[in-house]
This record gives sequence, structure tokens and C-alpha cells, in this order.
Amino acid sequence: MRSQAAAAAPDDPVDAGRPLVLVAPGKGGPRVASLNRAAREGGIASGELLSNARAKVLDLQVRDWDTQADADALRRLAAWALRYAPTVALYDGASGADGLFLEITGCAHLFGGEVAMLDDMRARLKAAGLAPRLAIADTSGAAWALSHHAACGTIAPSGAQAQMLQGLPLAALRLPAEALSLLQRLGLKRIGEIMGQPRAPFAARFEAALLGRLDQALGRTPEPLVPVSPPPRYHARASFMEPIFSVEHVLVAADRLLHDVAAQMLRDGAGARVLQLLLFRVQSKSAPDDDHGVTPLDIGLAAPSRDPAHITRLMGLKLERLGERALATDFGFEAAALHVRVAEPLTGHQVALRLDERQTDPHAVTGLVDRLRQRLGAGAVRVLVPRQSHVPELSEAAVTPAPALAQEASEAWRADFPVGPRPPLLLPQPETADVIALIPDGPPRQFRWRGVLHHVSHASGPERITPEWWRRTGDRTRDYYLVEDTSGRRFWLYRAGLFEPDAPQPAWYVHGVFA
Amino acid sequence: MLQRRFQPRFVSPRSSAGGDEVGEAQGVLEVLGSRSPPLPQTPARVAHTAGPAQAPSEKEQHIARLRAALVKLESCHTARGATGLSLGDLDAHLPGGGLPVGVLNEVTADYAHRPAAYGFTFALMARGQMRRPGPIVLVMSRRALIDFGHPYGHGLAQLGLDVGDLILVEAGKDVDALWAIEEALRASGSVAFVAGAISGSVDLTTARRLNLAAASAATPLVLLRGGKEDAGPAATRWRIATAPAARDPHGGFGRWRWQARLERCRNGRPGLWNIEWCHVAHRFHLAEGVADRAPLAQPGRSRRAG
Repeated sequence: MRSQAAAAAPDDPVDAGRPLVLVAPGKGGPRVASLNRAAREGGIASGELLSNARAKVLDLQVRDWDTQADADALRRLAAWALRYAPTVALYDGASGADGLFLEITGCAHLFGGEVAMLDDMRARLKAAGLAPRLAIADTSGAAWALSHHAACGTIAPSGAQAQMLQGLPLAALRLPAEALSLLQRLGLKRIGEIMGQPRAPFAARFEAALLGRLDQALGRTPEPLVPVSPPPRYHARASFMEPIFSVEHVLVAADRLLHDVAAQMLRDGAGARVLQLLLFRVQSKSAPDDDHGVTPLDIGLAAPSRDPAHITRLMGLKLERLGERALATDFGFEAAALHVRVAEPLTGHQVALRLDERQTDPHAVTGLVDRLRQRLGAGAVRVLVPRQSHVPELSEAAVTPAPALAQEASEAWRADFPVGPRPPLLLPQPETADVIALIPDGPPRQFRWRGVLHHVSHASGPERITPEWWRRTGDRTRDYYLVEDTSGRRFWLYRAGLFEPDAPQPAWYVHGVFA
Repeated sequence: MLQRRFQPRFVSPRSSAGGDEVGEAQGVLEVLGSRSPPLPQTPARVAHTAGPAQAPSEKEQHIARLRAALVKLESCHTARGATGLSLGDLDAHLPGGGLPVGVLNEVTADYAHRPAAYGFTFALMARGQMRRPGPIVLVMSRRALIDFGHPYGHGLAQLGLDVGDLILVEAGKDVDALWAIEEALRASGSVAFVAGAISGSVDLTTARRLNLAAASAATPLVLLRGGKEDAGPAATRWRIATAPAARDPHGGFGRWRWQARLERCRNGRPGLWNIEWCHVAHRFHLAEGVADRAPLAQPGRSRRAG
């Protein structure tokens, strides 16, 4: 009865102070997947059968374990952790998927050292209602072991993993349950007990798991991390003494970060194509954020650039387009990070020494394209390129401009020339027209389009365009006519379909207007 | 068709040859019609348009100097020293020998004739490509595009445009389009031509901003606009209407023809012409009268031997 009651009312508010377990289906019935401090004090252990847990604690709160929500929450936390380091990885499934790895090489000094960084992290996570377990070590394996089986905030001195790990239980090596129970039956309990042993017997019995994990923890083999967001090619970050609010201040901060990044890129002869400015909001306890207080601002460039003034200008234009809501915060931003996601080679270019004024600066054009795209939207700036098709609406495409495209496109346009006349303005969709023709398959004599009757004074055509069988069915053969009405307006009409015994009657459409 | 040509003439007060008759017109700019009979008191040498080739006299040099000075004074918004964009047969009617560059030129049309205005603008863009290398930028607001569709590359190429060098910019609103036009004009002269199409009209402040932006690099600027209001500091304003196209000898279509009415022209005079666009030579021709049109249907032309 009690379990039914619990299951029937899963939306009951949870009292965090009372024993609470999350259950997942397991061997022999639902088992405890996760539990809070009060439940642990009541003697419940992770992995226990729910019925046993109920026997131990009378007033137990039970909820189903929503793994998806758990993973989502962890992912959001990873986004939050980007404020400390650009590379943040989740524990993979094998290691429990209950935490994060941060690659803090070169980042700790920004917070005043590793100790201060951990203190800051702990304070913020506690403020957010989480109970963190933190550790720093040379390898992710050692950091995992220390965070799970040592005091919170343990920092392993560089190169001292072996000593730090010696006293820890073997479970700290992220081993599978079977391997762990076998080791216990063999009487091995501490990591130190297997560290000095000959490797061959272990390798024979435990395959790669045991020695592999041990080597990873000790730094003998590398352990690649899979970061939540691809690590930026270049990055810079800054914390502010006072929270900042206004667009101007954000741009000043971005400019400073860009100068840092530009120096790195100059060293490598690279330029940024895709950048992301991350703004970290001051978090309020009352209103938890969906995105853990990170406001991202993505900037794409038409050509690689490392010019801080140019990129800052683009950010300004982008913010102008997004409007007020882009930077809506309660308490302002306390930190910012700039990540260069895509970088391309950018070698210095020499301006050709020509004495006439007939030279253009290609960088001025790409800069213009960038500014227009940031202000008007990425799809606003287009270049037309021809496509291999006879069907008029398929014979060209509008693409995003790119350097060196203009040259190619010009040549393609020169090479590719349709036989018949083409209108400079093409309607997005062919529009139906009521046409009267003298003979059924002749040119129109008069037609009504958009409610206006046009008397045709002259017509040329037809130009027959058959549908391309490899594209789609249902298209009909078109006979295009160029007609001029008595007032001198010129139209491009076509008759879809042929006069055939079984076919439906052909229909007329206006497809474009001539100048 | 207005074919009268007016030539502004200066009469120098200091010229020795002119005598006292000229002295009456001290510092006054006289506008004389070239077709009007020569005024009796004006000596033949002042009417320099028709005389036989002579070495330029001191007076004629002076006249040339004054003329240049006046152009400088009058074109406060025109780019210094820039010559106009040559348009072919229309050049003689335009100050500076062509479409003024570095200033705002407006093109308007009645609703039904708006495609023709587009065509005229495209032709001007093709002309602009000949003058200066670099991309041409066409900014269109979404509402200006709604009725007659999007620019179509194959059709533009047939008008003589190098489509590969054309950058199309689509803006949601007129305000954004005007911003984009100004931005393109300020791109340090790397753009060969800037054209815009908006649904409304331009206010005075925006037009001044565009003038200033265009003048910095003497970029040709043409704005195709809707809107009825005609106030605005545009250097030229054209009203385009379509006209029946020329016929080729085989009864097909020849060059497109438009009726171009120059409604406003700073330092020049309005006019009305029937023009046709030659997409090969990239120039406008004055169309001949309608009398040379091939008959619409020639009886007996399609006779066949049986």
C-alpha cells in the first residue's frame, strides 16, 4: 500500500531533510540508485533493494530515477563550469556519469591559485544547493579517485598521485563491479596493494580494466576527455570587479579579450572564423536559471580575421539586432570568456603597390559582408551562383558570399548561358493566369494576371523546357513565351502540359517580369 | 521628345573683345538656347559652339575657368573632381557628362512600371561595373521585393551584368535597408556601385547621410524607391515607364525600351527621352521614333509553297 501511495503521488514536494531515495529497476526488483544524506544516515546503501531500504527507514521518500533529467542537469552544470576552464567533460557512463572533469591547465592562476579556485567553486555550488566533492590532481583518474574517496577539496601535489592513491580503496579506480568483487575475494583492498605487484598475473585475470585504470590514474597512459563543447582553438577570459550591465561595457570587455586572443592567433598566423563570447551572469538564488547563467553570443565571419576592432564592431551590430533582451540580467555579468571555435590560416597580406586608384581591398568587402550579416541576419547577404539545370527556378542558387567565390561565380556565369530570354525578376512561385490564345498551342492573345487584363501585342516563343526526370515526378512540360502587352509591359508566361488525349488540360502561369 | 539642348554660357566682364555690349551682363550667367537665333548685340565669337576651329582665346580660357569654378561652387555635395557615370546618348543632357556619382540618384516609377525601373537600375549597375572594379551591392527591403519577385541571375546576365560580382542584401525594413546602403557606401571605396530598392521614400536627414557617405569615395548610388513624396536632396530623380520594345528584322524582340523622364536634375535640366539599353556596349541609346517598328503581323509573310 505504501509503495502504491508513493507511486501515485510522485509530484509531492520532496523534503530534502528527510530520507529520500531514487529507485531504478534492477535485479530482483527496484533498487536504490541514489540517495540523500538523511537516507545514508538511516543505513541505506546505494544498490540496495527498495524493500530492504523501506525496512530500514520508516518514513522513506521514494522517487523514480529520471536518468534523462539527471543527464540534462549535468550538462547544464558543465556549461556553467565553462567559466573556470574551456574544456569541461562529463564522466562517462562507465564511471557513473555523476560529475565533471575540468581541464584547468593554465586556468587556476586566473582565480588566484588552485586552492582559491576550489574554494570559489565550492562556495558557488553550495549556494546553488549542491553538495560538491572536489579534487585536483595531475590525471583525471586520480582526481576522480580523490574526489570520491578522499576529503573534499583534496589537492594532489604535482607528481604525487602514487602516494595519494596508495591508501584509497580499489573502488577509487573506477572498476567494474565484477572485477571489484573478485579483487575483494582475493583479499586486495587498497590501491597500494596492487601498485607494487607484478603486472602479468593481473593482466591475465582482469584483462585491460584494472591495469588500464591504474595506469590512467598514475598518468602512465593518457586518458582522453570528451568535452561537452569542442575545446576552442584559442580562448581568453576575464572576471570583473563589479558586475557589468550595459552593451558598451560588454563590448569593452570583449575588445580586451579579443586583444588577448589576437596575440595568440598572430603567433600562429591564424584568424578566427567562428567565435563565441560567453557572458556569465551573477546568479540569484531565488530564480534558478535554465542555462546556469551563461549568455552566449555567436559570431561568424565571412573571412578569417584577428582584428579586434572589426570583431567588436560585429558584436555591437549583433547585439543591436538582438535588442534589449539579449543582455537581460537581474544582477549583471560577473565574468566573460571568449572562445575561438574555428580558426583558419591568416597570413599577412601585402597591399599591391599600384599607383592608379583602380584597386580594391578585398578585406574591405569581407568586412562589409560581416557587418551586414551581423546586423541583418546570417541569411541576408547572398551571392547568386548558377546551377546545372534547365528548369528556371532550379538553375541558380543564392549562397553566402565567401572570398574567392566572386571569381568562380563570374566565370561560371559567363560559361553558363541559357538559350532563350530570361527575365531579370523571377516570381518566387509561378502565378496562375487566365489566358486566351487563338490556337490552343499558340502564344497567348490576352491574359488576366492578378486581376488585370493584358492584351498581348507581341509574343515570342515557345521555348520548351521539359522536366528533369531525375528530380521529381509531377512536373509538366513547359512552353515559355515572352509577351509584351499593349502598354509595353513584358512578361514571361508558360503553359504547363501538352495537349494530349488523356492528360489534364494545360494551365498557364506567369513566371517572371521583364524590365 | 525633348531634343533641345541648353548650354550655359558665361560672359566675361573683363574680356577686351566683347566691348560694352558684354559689359551689360556683368557677372550674370546667361542661359541661351543653342537653337535660338543669336542675339544681335552678341558678337559671333561669343557663340563659340558653332565657329570654326580656332586657337582658344584668352576669353575662352577664362570662360572655361569660370565654368569650372561654378561647378565647384554649386555641387557642394558632389565628390570633388569626379566625373559622372557615362550613360551613352544621355550624357549630353546631364551635368558633368553623365550620371552624377557620389550623390544620391533616385529612380521612381508608377506601380505597374516598377519592373522597368528595376531594369533601368540594373542597367545602371551594369554600367557602373564597367567604370570601377569591385563588387556591386544591391540592397532590397523585403516589401520592395514582394510584388515582382527576386533578381534572377540569368536575366541579369542578359542585361549585361556580371552576376558573380553582385552582392544581394535583403533587409527586413526600409530603415535597415538604408542602413545597409550607407554601410556599403562607407566600405572605403571598395564597392563599385551601390543600388537600393525600398518601398517607402527617404527623408531629408537620411538623404543627406547617404550623400555624405557616397561622396567620401565617389561611389555611384542609385535608390529605387516607392513613396509619393518628392522632397529630397537627390541630385537626379528619374521616373521610368516601360515602352514597347524594339523589333528586330525577323519580327522578334530587339532591345528593351524605356521612357525615362528626368524629373529633377541638379545643375541640369529635366527632360524626357525614349531610351534603349544596349547590354553589349553597356550604353543607352536614344530610341528612334515608333515609325520604324516592324509591323505586328505581315500578311503573306508565312506563305508556304505547297
